[in-house]
Amino acid sequence: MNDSFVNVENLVKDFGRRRVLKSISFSVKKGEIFGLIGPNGAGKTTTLRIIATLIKPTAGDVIIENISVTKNAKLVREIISYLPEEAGVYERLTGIEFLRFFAEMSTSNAHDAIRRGIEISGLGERLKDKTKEYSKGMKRRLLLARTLMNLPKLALLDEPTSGLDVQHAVQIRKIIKDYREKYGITIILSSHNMLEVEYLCDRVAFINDGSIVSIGTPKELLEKYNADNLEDAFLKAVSNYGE
Amino acid sequence: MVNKLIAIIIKELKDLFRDKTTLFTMIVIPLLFFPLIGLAFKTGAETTAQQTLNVAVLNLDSGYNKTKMGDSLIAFIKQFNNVNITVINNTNESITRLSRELYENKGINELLVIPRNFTETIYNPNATAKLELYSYVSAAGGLAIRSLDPILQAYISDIINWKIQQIAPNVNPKAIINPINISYISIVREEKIPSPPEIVHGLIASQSWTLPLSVFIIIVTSSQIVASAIASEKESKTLEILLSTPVSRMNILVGKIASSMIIAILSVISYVGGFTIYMNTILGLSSAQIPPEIANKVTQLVNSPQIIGGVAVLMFITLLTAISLSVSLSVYAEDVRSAQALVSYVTLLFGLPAFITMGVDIDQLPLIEKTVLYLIPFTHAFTGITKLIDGDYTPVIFGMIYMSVFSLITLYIASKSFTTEKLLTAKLTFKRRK
Repeated sequence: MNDSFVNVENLVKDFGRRRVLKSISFSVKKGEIFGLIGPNGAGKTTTLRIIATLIKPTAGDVIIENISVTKNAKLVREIISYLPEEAGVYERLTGIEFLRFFAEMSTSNAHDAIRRGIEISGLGERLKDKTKEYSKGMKRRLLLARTLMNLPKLALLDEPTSGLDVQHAVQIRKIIKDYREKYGITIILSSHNMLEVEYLCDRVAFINDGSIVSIGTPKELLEKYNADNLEDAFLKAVSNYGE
Repeated sequence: MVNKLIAIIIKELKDLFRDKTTLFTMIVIPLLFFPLIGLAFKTGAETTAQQTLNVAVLNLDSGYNKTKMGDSLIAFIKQFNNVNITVINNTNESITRLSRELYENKGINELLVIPRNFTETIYNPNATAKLELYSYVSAAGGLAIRSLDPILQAYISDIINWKIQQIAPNVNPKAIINPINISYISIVREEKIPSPPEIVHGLIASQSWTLPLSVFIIIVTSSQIVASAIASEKESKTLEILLSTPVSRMNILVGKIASSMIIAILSVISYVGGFTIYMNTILGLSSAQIPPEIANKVTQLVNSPQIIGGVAVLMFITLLTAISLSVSLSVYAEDVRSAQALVSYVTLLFGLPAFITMGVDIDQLPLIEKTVLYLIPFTHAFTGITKLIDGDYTPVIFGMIYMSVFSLITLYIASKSFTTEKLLTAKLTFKRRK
């Protein structure tokens, strides 16, 4: 056995006749921030949804801390926390009610989780307001607080800064990085944003058209493809892969 | 497990109660709707009763044997309360012009014309006297206008008695007018009600027609609520977050159904409360034509504890059936709009029996039509109400069992759909193609 915390093994997913994941495999070490990078429709969200036990793979499996997502989804849900891309909030609940509800759903120690949620969100008194009064950035911070407040062993973040302005995106990235450092949470995130990936991720996987094209640290990938930045590296990886 | 279910129900209820549209549609409107209608009827009836009767009489009667019956008719009219009578003894204008002038200048809309030979024809045993009552009809005039007609009918009745006594002084005029008296007795279940069947049926119908309508409205609204609740979670992706937490799918499903049921039951209470106020308001109004003791007896029969209990159980099962069906369907909807469109198609299943039972006795329909209608579970909800009033409990119990089985099957399908990825991947949409 290797020292991996998450093992994605030959994952295949078909939606009808369309194959969206073509036997992808990768592993993530404990405490690592692992990035899935690729264009829209590459298979990033499908991969995260399978790991989050929301959909089942057509073939293959994901093992998290020796627990199979296909065979023991209930146990997996105890140790993961998932933030979907452009997720919304319950608009008629206040921020604090939103955090309390999900704390009660996710942990037996809701009180501590809520306390952490309040801290992560940084929304202060605004948590007493209904979430429909929040800006997009505030909602995303609340959602991120919800994801991290239970101290999950594995956090799955799908495009965590998607649609946010620079200021809010920077805040979100800082929260993710700080929390990983403080609690050693393992994180798998997907992103279009190469700067974000370079800033946050220990290792990244380039994914294109349902296949993993290349995996490595940002530095390794830049060297491997002789590129100035990850965007350039991705384009070169994709073009090389097809040849 | 139970704590999580309670947390889901509380969250759903908060979400629903803070939605002003839901609260207004399901709780406030029913509580205001019926009492306001009752109040409108009552106010209208009271206004009519207290209205001053403005009437003009063109008395052309020339009398007979020093008697002028035209004058006695005017005196008869004057003895009634709130009657303002304008007597005109001659005119050069046409009747139509006079009527219009009276209406426009004095607000008088009825003109009674007593002809020249009025007294003479009344005294003639072989002739029929004539009166002409002109009513000025204006588009702006309301329906609740007090008329001279009931006073004239009372006067005619007096004249009949007087004429009979003139011809046969030793005879009781009432015995001549009504030689045979029929006692009308209606039987509802095993209760005798001393009133003609059309009156009793009308009273029962007035109290039972609103129930199918209320059931229909509640079913449609609660179905829309539960379908929207699931679809909006799908649309905003909060469902994905919820499904990835260690809470069972069954808890989520039951929590949504339970909260929708709570809202629906509150709505039923609101309807029943509003309807009771309405009934209490209008019961006194019918006493002019229907004796209050008859109205009260019918009300007691219709609102007996057995019937109210039966209707409550029937409505609970109906709501459960409707909500289960809506949940099952909403699983396949991509967004709120699609969910509402799906449920609106199902509304036909509620609407068809609801409107048919308002006008037709389904049991009297040909076998094929009857069978098709009874296969729709909601038909049993609507026929059940009238059968409960009739005391015919067996088909009601059968209907309840049928709807319960249907609910269990749809709930089972819903729970199965909830545990599969169809919940997230099904994309039934009803958007217009561009």
